[in-house]
Amino acid sequence: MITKKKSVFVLLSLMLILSACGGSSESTTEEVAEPVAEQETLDSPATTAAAAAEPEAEALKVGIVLGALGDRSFMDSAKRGFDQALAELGIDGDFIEAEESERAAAYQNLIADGKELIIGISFSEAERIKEAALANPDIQFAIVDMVVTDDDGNLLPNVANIIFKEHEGSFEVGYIAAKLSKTGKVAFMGGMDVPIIRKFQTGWEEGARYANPDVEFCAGYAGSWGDPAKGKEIGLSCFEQGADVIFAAGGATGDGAYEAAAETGNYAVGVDSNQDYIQPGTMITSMMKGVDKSVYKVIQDTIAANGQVFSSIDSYGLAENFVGSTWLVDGTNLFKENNPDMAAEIDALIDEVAAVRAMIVSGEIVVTDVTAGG
Amino acid sequence: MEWLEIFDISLFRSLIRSATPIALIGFGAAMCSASGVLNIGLEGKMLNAAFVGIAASYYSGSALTGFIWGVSAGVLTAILFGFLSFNLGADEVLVGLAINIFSIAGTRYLLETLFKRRGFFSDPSIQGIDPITFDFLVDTRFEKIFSGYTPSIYLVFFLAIVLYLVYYKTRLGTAIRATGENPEAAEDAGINTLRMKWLTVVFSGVLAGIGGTFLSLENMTLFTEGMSAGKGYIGLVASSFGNNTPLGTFGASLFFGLGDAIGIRLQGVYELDSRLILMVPYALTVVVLILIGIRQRIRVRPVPIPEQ
Repeated sequence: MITKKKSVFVLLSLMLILSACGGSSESTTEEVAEPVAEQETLDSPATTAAAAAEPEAEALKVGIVLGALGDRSFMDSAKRGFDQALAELGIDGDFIEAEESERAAAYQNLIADGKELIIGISFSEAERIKEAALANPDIQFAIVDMVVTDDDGNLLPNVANIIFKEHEGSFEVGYIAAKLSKTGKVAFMGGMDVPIIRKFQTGWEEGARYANPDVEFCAGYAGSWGDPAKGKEIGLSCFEQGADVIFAAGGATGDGAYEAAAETGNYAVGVDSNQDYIQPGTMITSMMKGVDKSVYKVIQDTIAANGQVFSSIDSYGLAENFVGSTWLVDGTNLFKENNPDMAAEIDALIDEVAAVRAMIVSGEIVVTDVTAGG
Repeated sequence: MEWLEIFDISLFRSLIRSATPIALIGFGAAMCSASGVLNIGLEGKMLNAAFVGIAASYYSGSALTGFIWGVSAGVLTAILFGFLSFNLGADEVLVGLAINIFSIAGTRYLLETLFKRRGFFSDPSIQGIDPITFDFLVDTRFEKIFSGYTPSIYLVFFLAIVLYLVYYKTRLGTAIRATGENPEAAEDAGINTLRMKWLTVVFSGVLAGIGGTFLSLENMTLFTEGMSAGKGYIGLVASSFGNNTPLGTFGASLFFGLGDAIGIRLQGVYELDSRLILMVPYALTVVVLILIGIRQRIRVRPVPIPEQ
């Protein structure tokens, strides 16, 4: 009886560790439904530019490794860009959705499959991309959210690095939030406590302080990209402390924070994709991050490189309109539609935000990038 | 933010919210353990209930329908557990594990086939269960302490008392305990031990069902993959920590709820590293398991073998 109990406790501890280490412990591998009708739908300019130039050329084989889809935010955005490229650029592609523990194998599968361009999404892929790129110098790799270097700090000749100036975009939404906040206190909820999310937080706080020098802050990290219950508790905790707008940078965890805002009659700011539709009227705006556009662009660049590997760092910010508030990035404003009584105030604010953006682009306002120089 | 400021009414409410699913699972686990069944599959039952509850609420547009279906899903999973372990004689621990793993994958599969969603499901047509407000408490100092919780939270307090009475003051409670402590003696005394085990397993299914719908329909109105997030296991630990008694389990659940609620607020104090604080509930669980181990060792003191 005692030995049975003992083994059970060991088992229990094991399961706790397992469940602590990741929300969903399943992974799927999927083939994308293709072939996309290649040359028939030649109405987009991108297609005419890239694929139609060489109608006889063989389709570029692209593979992309994604984390859990369905976050309506970061990973979904990457997938959107990939799907768009599949539809428009006449490429041949597969995506693999994998848990972190299974991604190294996923890259090996794509390499074995003869892919010419392999894309990794998120800073967590740096080591895996580095190893794969060093071992396969003929294959082009790309990584979003990280700059990959070899042990001496040099860029790898076959890796395209894509990073974003999230601090600039977060400054913009932070400015909007502090202008609309009635309590003068704004909240931040982060997924994992990692440098890139700190970059969001710093930009957000600087933007809010620029709008209102006396603004106060509340912040919490959930330690997960997929735990909305914790996101909600963080949201409620901050609202109870007097905040009235929350910016959630944490994938699906953020949905809990939005729900907390909607329930308590406060406001929220979405992240990475246009999330304004999630809690209409509660979502002031979303901090867009053009992961989709960047994935699309790196595929275009690879087609243009014509079989040659290349090394690059692309840093997208407000100037390229790859980050920033939905109000300016895609010109939508669901918040205004849902709050007609505030229309005049919002219209005025849009002009102000555009002016702030111009100052950031011109360098008049410098937003701190916590990841710079490290 | 100062140290003491985190101990306020919102901490209390957060504690209660975090403790509720743990306590519901814990009560079920305590009853099962008392009757000698190690029910490790509660996590899966909870997850199934959370999913079925939200699906039923989505299709019917009624929170009550969602709740009933969710609880039924918990009970059905419990019956599967009982059938496999009692009727077919499979190892309880393995059956529980299988149910947990199957539930994670199964809900994920259904999420994709039924709703064409991945990872996450929420929709305006899902009706959540509303909190209860007591009108006579409005504008009194007790409003913030007692009013405005969802039904399951009140149920947990009620259950703690009812289960205590059943456990110690009724024939049924004695029969359940006898089944766990000495099955042969219980059989001799005319107790149908198999029936007792079935009873506690189905009861734990009902509670896991309520716990699951609490997650997806009460605390939030959305479903995410693996949203039970280890609460089933923590509930199991709470019941062990509470010595498989109703009040002990309840106290242990509050303890874990406190760990969760404090963790979130501590992040605002002294700029503590969030990763360290997020570890708190899991670290607490490990510490508690160690304490249980020590307690058992003390109780079962090895008897020295007399020298020949």
